[in-house]
Amino acid sequence: VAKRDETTTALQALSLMNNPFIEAMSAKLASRTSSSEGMLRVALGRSPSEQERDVLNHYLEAHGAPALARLIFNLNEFTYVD
Amino acid sequence: MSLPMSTRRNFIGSLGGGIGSLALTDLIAKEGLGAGRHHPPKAKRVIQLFMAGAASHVDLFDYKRQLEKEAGQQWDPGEEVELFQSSPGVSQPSYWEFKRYGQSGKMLSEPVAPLGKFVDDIAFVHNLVGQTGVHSQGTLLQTTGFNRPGFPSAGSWVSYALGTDNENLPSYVVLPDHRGFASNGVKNWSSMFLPAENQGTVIRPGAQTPINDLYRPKSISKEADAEAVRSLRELNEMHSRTRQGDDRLNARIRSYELAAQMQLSATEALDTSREPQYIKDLYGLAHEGPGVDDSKINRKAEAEFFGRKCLIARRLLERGVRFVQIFSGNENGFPRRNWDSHENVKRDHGPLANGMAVGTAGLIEDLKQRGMLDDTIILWTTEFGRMPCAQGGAGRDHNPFVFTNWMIGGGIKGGTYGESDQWGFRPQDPDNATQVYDIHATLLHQLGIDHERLTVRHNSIDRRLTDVHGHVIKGMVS
Repeated sequence: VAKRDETTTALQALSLMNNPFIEAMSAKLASRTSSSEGMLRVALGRSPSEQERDVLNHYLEAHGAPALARLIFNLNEFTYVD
Repeated sequence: MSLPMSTRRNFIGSLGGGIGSLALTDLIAKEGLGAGRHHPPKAKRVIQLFMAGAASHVDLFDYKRQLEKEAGQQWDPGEEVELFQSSPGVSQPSYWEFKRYGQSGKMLSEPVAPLGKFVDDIAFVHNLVGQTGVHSQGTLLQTTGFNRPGFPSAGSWVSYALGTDNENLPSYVVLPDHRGFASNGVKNWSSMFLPAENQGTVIRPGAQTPINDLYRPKSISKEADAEAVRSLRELNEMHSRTRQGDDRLNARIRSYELAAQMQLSATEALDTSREPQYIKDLYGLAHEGPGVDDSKINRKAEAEFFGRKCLIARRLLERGVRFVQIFSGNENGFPRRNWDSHENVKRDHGPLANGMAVGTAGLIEDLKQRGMLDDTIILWTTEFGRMPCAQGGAGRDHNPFVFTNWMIGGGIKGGTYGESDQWGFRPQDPDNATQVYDIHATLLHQLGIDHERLTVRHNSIDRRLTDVHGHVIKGMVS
């Protein structure tokens, strides 16, 4: 039985990555807090694990806080409420 | 601090199945889907040409000598007729001369003469009947098979049944008129209760951003974007390992990769700069491109607008897109740029019809040369027809009682299947009129699909594109 997800499309991914709204919100989050710990607390209500910290900090150092905020908004954990 | 494990979702999920699969079970699961076909297909792909506003059959494809005989006299069909926004005026013959074409001698009017070359291979149906003379419902009826919202479009059904031929492009693409959507807009290409990936993706050739949000924001570099996709995958995989059984998570990870691939593949597909000049001429493209002067409606501009969409459609189909839906005309607005010629048929229908004919003839020729016409179906349709009597001095009101569709390609046999009466007012034989269900059943049949067996259980009903109606039009298919 072929299983397909009912709501996820590439168009959604494009929206969440590239829409001007996300760009504006990323700038806002980055101005609130510029650390990966700070951003995860605001967005997900928790601190990053060791593994996650590595990935997030590496990205932050290479590309800056607004780009990191954009990435965090695109996490599955941010999209799906547990 | 460790990741939270004892969430409600995880708890319920651990009871068996997982929330993801629970959500999915009430959706689909039909044998053969993915494989999709019930019998060997003749066609693999579809182009639907939708004339928004209601195209006048008697001025384009359905020649009515009786109107010439009665010209100028009060039109009297022998019954009381209630029209959308007027009372029946005088009998009004076609605003353009009809001529014979091909071996069949089929009559076409002057604006659509470019289609004369292919007339022997076109299957004309002049006895379509709808259910309404209202644009919103009429449009939905043609695009989704139901005259009320809530049902997937034909393109979504085809996409669902056959899947995509190219992972990097959507299986169903919509090319709207740049001046605005048809009545009911996105509902005409929605997937509704079918999986969301079967919805039409709107592409605007000629626009700076042909697909919404296709390009990264200016503040993000190419490297930041590429690494974001990689890092997202890594983080999302960590997250999904602690939430086994939720299929949505992996689907979402995949969708980011598809989005990245689509940026490249869509850009390439839409790049017409390397098409040879003779091809651009074939489709009627203007040298100025999409910026051609349209301050007053004119044939050159309409050919550029429609022809460009046809060329893009060919490129998309070549690259594996299953269903391309091209719209001509918007919904109202001033000045009028649609087929709803209440005021002036000659002024508004002429350029739109000619632009459509030039572009479509180019498309048919091009597909033929590439050996693609045999497995590509082109369907021309509109929400309803226009009256054989005049409205005011120069217009025609809605004719919900009969209208014309035509199809070519994909194993469809040319000819005329169903006639209207002497005026083009009602079907010649009302008991054997054609409905959209028959058109769709025939379309699906050529794609190798039995319209009665392509169903999805939704709200306890086995839903299908053709509702509980429809039959394959005999004689039209081999």
